[in-house]
Amino acid sequence: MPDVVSFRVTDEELEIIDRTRRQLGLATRADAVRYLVKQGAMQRASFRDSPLGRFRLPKRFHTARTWSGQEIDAYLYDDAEKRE
Amino acid sequence: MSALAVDTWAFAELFQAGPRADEVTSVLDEADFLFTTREVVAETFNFIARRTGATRYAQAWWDDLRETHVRVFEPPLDELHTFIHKASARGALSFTDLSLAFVAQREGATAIATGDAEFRRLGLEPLFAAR
Repeated sequence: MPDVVSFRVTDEELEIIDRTRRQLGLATRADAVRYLVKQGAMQRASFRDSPLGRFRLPKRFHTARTWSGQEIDAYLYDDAEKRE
Repeated sequence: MSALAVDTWAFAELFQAGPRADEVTSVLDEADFLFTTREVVAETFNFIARRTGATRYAQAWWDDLRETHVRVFEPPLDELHTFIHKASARGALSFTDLSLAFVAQREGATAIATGDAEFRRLGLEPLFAAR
C-alpha cells in the first residue's frame, strides 16, 4: 500500500506513475511524471493557479519579513506559555 | 527542477505573504513532482492555528492543500527510525525535517523548498537558505 495520504486526483494517479516508472526503468517518480506530461498522458499541474498557490491568511497576519525555521519552531513550541 | 520537497517554511512564507512568497511560488510552479510529508502538514496546520488563534484558518489551508498537486507522504516510522540512525545528523534537525529529508532522498529529490540551512547536513539543498 503506498504511503500517500493525500492526492489532488486519486490513488489511480500514483499507480499510473509507478507503473510507468517500472516499465521504463526510470529512477524516480518525478521522471515518470515528466515522461507522462511529455506524452500528453498527464496534465502538468500549475501550483501558481492552484487553490494553495492562492491561499493567503487575512492581511493582519501578513509579514514584512521572512520567518526562519527556528522562529516557526519557537512560535509553535517554546513560546506557548508566553502567548497565553 | 524535477522533484521538490516542500517544508513548513515555504508554506509559511506563502500564507503570510512574506517577502519571498513570489520566489517560492515560482520555484514550486517549476517542479514536476511536488511533495511533502504528514509531519510537515501537521506542523504547518499547528502553526496557522497558533498564529491566528483560529483553527478554521488552518482547516481552510488543509482543504486547499488537498485540492493541489502536492503529494503528501506518510513515511513508515520504522523506516524513518532507521534513516535517522543511518544519517546520524548533527545539528538541529527536527523530526519533521528528518521525515521530509527521508522522503526527499527516497523520491530522488536533491532540493528542499525551505530557508533552513540545516538540510545541508544531509546533502540536500535548501533553496532559500543563505550560503
